[in-house]
Amino acid sequence: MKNAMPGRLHPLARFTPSPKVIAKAIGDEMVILDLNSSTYFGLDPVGVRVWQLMSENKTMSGICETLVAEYDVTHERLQQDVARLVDDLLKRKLMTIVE
Amino acid sequence: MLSISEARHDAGHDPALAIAVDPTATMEENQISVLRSGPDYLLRFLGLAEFRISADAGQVEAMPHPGCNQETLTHLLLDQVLPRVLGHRGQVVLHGGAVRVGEGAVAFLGVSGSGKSTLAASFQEAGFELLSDDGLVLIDDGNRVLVSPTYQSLRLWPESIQALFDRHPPRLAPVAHYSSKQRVAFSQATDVGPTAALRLEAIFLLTEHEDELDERVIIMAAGPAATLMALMQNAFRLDVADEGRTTRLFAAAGDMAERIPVYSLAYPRDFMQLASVRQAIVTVVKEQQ
Repeated sequence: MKNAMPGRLHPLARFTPSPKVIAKAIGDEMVILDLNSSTYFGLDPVGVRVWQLMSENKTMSGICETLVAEYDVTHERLQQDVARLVDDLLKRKLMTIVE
Repeated sequence: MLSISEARHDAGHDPALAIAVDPTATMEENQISVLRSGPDYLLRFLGLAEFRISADAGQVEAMPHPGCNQETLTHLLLDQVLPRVLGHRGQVVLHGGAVRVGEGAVAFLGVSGSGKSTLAASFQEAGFELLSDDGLVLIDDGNRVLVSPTYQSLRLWPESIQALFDRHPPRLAPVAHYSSKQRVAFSQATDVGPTAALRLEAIFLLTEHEDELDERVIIMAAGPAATLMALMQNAFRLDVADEGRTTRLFAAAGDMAERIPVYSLAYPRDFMQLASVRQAIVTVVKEQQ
């Protein structure tokens, strides 16, 4: 498949916020505090929506399907952007994959 | 689309001894560490003094080192220890200055050396009431966010005093024996206790232009997420590793962040330009009122 998601992001992968993370939706943005590292992260409105869907136990493909219906963007582009953000959230240990 | 921004809170950790290096430590007091001593905290100012603080921050015992004079001890207690004590007891205490504009308070936050005190002093010299140059307690009454200054104070470098108070030299007292900063003495005490809490009209985050030759005064609104991060990064805390207190502070600051207009303020660090900076700030505050 062209532009496939990275290997760790299986289409059926599900996620949960890391236990040492607290998040606050504020305005149309979100601030995430990683208690382990005392680091703050900011998410833009689309990032907030991704975080919400991840927190609702949606699968990776389910997140993309939901977002492509909500935003005026091609499935391919959206898949790339979501994969990049999810990968970033996992690398920073803000989210974890539910085994 | 889909970006994530990052901001660190603490300056770093010393795994051997310190719980954390405090992010609100100023340039002259960067040798601060917080240790656990049984159930208590030991707030250590290297070479100056130690303060033993009970676990609930209900008791503070000062232990000055030889050579730490009364001014230094008072400065450490008022400007460093008590704000952290209040923070530990659940108050949101910001490291920043504030002046009265109209019926409300305008606060200035920024890293050490960014000009908070000089800007506050400039307002004071121009006839505005100085509320504090160092510590602000935020009070959420469920509707408004109020600010209660910790105490009226101005601590300035000699060059700022000379530039700002050229016509009316104030009475001065040393801040601490290790610093050339001077405390500006006021001719009369002002009632700025808890009963004098004022509505917090706006917070200005002091920044510098990327181009140091840029002479513009630029004020830009910051979003609520940036506001929440600014509140957290400028809040005094005793134990930054205390997850329960951090979580409660985060919730309290988040609740307030959407109700506080916050602006970034970039301006040239030129005493001659301070009148323009004041004018720009007052205009923004009056426009939002």
